[in-house]
Amino acid sequence: MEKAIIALAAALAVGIPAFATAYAQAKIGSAGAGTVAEKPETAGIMIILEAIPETMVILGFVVAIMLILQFA
Amino acid sequence: MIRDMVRIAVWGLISQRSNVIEVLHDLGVVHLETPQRTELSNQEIDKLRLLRGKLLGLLEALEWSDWNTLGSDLIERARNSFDLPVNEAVREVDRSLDRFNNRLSVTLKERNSLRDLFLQLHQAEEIINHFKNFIIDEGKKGKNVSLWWNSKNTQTRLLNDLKKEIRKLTPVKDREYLRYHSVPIREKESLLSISVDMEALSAVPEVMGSFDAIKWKVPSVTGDLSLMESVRQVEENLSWIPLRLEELEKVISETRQSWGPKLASLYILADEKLEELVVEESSLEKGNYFMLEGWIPSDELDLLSERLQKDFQEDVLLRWRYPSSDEWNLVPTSLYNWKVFKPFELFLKLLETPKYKSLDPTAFIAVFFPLFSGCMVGDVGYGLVTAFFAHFLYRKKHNQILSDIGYILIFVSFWSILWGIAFGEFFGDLGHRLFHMEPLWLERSHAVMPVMIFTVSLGAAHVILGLLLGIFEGIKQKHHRHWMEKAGNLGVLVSLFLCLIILKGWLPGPFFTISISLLVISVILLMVGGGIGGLVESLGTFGNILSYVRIAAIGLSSAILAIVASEFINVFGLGILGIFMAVAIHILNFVLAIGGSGLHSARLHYVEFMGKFYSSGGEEYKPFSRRRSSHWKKR
Repeated sequence: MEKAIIALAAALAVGIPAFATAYAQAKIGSAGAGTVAEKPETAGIMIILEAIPETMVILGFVVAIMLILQFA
Repeated sequence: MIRDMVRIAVWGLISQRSNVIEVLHDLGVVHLETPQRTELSNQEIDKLRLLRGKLLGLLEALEWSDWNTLGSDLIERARNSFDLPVNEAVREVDRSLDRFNNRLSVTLKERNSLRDLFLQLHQAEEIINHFKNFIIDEGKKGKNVSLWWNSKNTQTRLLNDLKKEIRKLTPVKDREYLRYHSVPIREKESLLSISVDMEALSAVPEVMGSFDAIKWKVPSVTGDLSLMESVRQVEENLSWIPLRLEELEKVISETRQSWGPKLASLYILADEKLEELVVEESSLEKGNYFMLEGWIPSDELDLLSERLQKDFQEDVLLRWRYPSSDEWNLVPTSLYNWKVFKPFELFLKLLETPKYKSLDPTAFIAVFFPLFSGCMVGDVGYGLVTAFFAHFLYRKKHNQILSDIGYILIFVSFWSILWGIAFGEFFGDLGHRLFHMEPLWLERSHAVMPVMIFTVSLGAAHVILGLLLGIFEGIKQKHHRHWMEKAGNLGVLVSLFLCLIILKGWLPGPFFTISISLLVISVILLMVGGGIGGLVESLGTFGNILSYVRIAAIGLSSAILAIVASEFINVFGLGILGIFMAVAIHILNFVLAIGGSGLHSARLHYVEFMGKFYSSGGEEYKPFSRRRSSHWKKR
């Protein structure tokens, strides 16, 4: 039971930020595509902006790994 | 590295002006200060613009776009036709173009109208196919068949009314004749084929008209042909049009191959001439003299000076000076890197140009990008596959961007192989299964924490390097607030690391006082340099360092996916299905690993590293040169 709760906690630690990241990237991606179509020179900035929300899910992943390694 | 630039002024006799401009164009090293070419206008410039537009229009009509294959020899040959005064050259070329255009437009017009007709007939054939049997059967019986667009909703009422009208026209002893066949076409419309006796023919248009139905006609069919005859004509047209289209395409393709490069060469020459005229027009005139101003890399100055001296002796005077620090933001930026680093300049093309006298991060990117990217891939097998594709791309010399990507991927593949040896991965655990490959350092799918700690340490080193470069830049550019902020950031980082080490007991207690003192000094520097924003920025620095954990995270997911791929062999056995599934997952993983590692590694550089020192907003060095690149058309 305890293991199942830890697994659920780890899943939530990755899952929730993953949803948040996906939502943010979808918004940035659609806006970015429009911007790059108008101004191709902004491609670099758009790649950066698109990759920024991924920090959330990566940190969530770190938390999940720590949860599993510490408690499981 | 950013090249030193010098400000030059070329003075000369007006009579030599166009020759001097031609020499500068040939040399292609001077960044001239001229207004936008669209801002200037005179008779010659306007004529050239018109000619250029006409040439581009013809190239587009010919559908020619092989700019990359255009050889210099062809351009040089075409240059002879431009070796006349502008007005004469334009007139001569224009006349030939008009003759060519007339011939071409006849062929293109015929091709385009036949294409349209073929499309319409094809659509008509699809409609006819629905009714073909009905039309033939009814035709054989001697009935009149017609086809009508009508609304689905009113179809039943329409047929009832039609039946009533036909009844009126049919002799009492006979039974009324009405047969129909209907096919729904769109949501609210359908096509209705009606077959009636010749005697009742007059009732059909009347009733159909009252329900707003429209008679369907075969495209291109003129005259009052019956539906049956129209069907035959459609079939006949559909048999000869493709043959004629093929003939026309062949003629156009031959014209494209023989005329495309010639027209493109003329376009380039017209464009070059236009540029020269714009420079000529915008030069400063004083009596019998003219003056041109611009920037040139200091290492090219001798070349320019010698060429002007050789061609014009005392008719031209060249003056030059280094820019003062106040002028730095006006100086164009020209990057110069060792050959080994040059392809990595590609990363800066995605950003705004760095300012003159700022730091060019290309060399750092060349060192760290493949290292990080390779660490994420971390598989000997994937590294070898990457090397194969990289070599293939690198050889595409006609496309500089692809060639540069190939070059960068060679480095990535090298590091992937090295990290693969360290992690003991060859297509996941296939190396271990086949030839008992063992990790030289650790197996990252099991030892997650050590890899994560390693990547964060790598990140700390990378970010600290960025901060040091930021301090260096601030001091060099005399931006006191900038260097103070970066120094404060670095101080906070180092002092907190020290505290951590002391708390772990790896350093004696008295060091704690030193670290706290360092922290206080750093916070003061931060506040002076960046205010409250500086404090927030310092917290962001910790986030930046933690962000490097993505190297471990992406690497781990790639390693696990590779193992999963090999696991399919266990599940399905060494059969076709097992091998197919394993290969499919490996291909997916390979694409994700290469794409993801490149993107994330680039992001680590753009945000975490370059954000500490990179100052953008410079003007790109664009020498006044004859453009022998694939961007001819786009510029």
